[in-house]
Amino acid sequence: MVIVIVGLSFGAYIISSRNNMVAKEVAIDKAWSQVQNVYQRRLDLIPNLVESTKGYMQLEKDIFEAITEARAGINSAETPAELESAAQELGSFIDDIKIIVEDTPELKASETVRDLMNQLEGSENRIAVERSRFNETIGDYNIYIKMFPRNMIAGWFGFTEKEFFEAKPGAEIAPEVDLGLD
Amino acid sequence: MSTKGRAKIAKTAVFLMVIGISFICFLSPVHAQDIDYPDYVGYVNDFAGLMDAASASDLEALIDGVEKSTGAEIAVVTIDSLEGITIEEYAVELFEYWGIGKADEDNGILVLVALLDRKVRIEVGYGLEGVITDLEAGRIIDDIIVPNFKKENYNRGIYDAVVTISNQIYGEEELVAMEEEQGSSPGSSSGRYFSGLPTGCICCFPVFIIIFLIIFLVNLFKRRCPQCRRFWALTIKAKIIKAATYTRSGQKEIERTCKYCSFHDKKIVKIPRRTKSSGFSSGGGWSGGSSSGGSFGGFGGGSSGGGGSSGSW
Repeated sequence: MVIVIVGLSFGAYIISSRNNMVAKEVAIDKAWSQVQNVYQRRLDLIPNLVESTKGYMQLEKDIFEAITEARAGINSAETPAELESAAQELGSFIDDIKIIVEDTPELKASETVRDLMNQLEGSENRIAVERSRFNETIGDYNIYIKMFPRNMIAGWFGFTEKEFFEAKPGAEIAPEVDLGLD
Repeated sequence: MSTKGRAKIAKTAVFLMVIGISFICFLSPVHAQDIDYPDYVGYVNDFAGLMDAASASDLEALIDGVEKSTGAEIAVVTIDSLEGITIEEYAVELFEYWGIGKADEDNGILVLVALLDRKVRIEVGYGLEGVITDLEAGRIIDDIIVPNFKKENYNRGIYDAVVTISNQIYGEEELVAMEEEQGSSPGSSSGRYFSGLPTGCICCFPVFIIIFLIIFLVNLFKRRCPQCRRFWALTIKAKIIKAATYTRSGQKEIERTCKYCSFHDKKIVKIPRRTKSSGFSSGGGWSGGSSSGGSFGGFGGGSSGGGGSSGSW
């Protein structure tokens, strides 16, 4: 009798643990698609940025081709590392644009550029938020599957630890913008 | 197996469980909250003391009005210091912590002012990102808040910004209402239940019968005259007075007339707010609704994803 009860409660524990793991994986997928979304959103701004700054910078390759590539890369990325490498090229391109805008008084004074910079800022803030949300769900899942009795259950059903977004060295320091006001 | 042996196993099992549970408790991570976010006192939370009492209560009433008619929740917060993090991080965390906006619509807005850091941010919930875009939030900061704050006109800056935001929300509201009127023709809603069901589906025959039976019974009692107690006696006419939108519930007038006796009545019923993911048409219903009434009773649990804009003065 006791064996049956212990067996049953153990079985129930396994089932509920497994279900929780599945639920947490679904939460991760959801957070992941949000991350992909906000990265795509930043890509949407590039054509306009290029248009309004084209007199001031040289393009090394066809930017539209690069956008298409990045889009496909972001869509098919399954880990944070893959996504970052897909977004990396245009990310640094955007950083270049920002520097040029910062250094060119005519650009800085333009209303269109100001609006674009505003949108870019919003887009990058969204990326930061969704990345940290994604990391939270990953952390939640990783802790859950690594806790003692559950680590065995996770092993039986093939749930493995998942990868975080790593903060890039220096990324936690916001770039200093000197407006020369004082 | 002897009784003794079983008892022993049971004891061991219990012992192991206790160890396991204490182990889990011990290992559970302690969520370190390094920043002590304040708790809200209303829609307007002037922790830094930038506003005078009259403006603050005016603003509270204004925001309350917005919430009552559109469901959107605006929180105004002034703090002294960001405690070392960026205003973007502070805003998104505070937004999440308070749950500004309704949980299913994420229609909240946070106007955050950090006095000592001289930073301001308008954080927009997911559901209002289309209504207040980053651009518009940026303009409100650049054109309304910053010029006033530079002159230490904190009252004016905050008040005008919230008025602009409210107007934007109201404006959107009217647009949706207009679309609604053009899209749907008001009238009787009987027979609408069947449109959602797949026709010619034989495999779900029993389910179909049960659903049919339920609808039949519901109708039977709905159409029973309360005066002469006859079934199928009432003619029910519905007229939409105010269409429901995404942010506000609507109203319809239901007129009931008995075929057999002199019974006749009219009543006004609430139409539930529309939801974005409506696969099934909402049937209206006689629900009492959840009108909260009175003043501020807490935020609805909405969240934001970093939309909005920041500035400094």
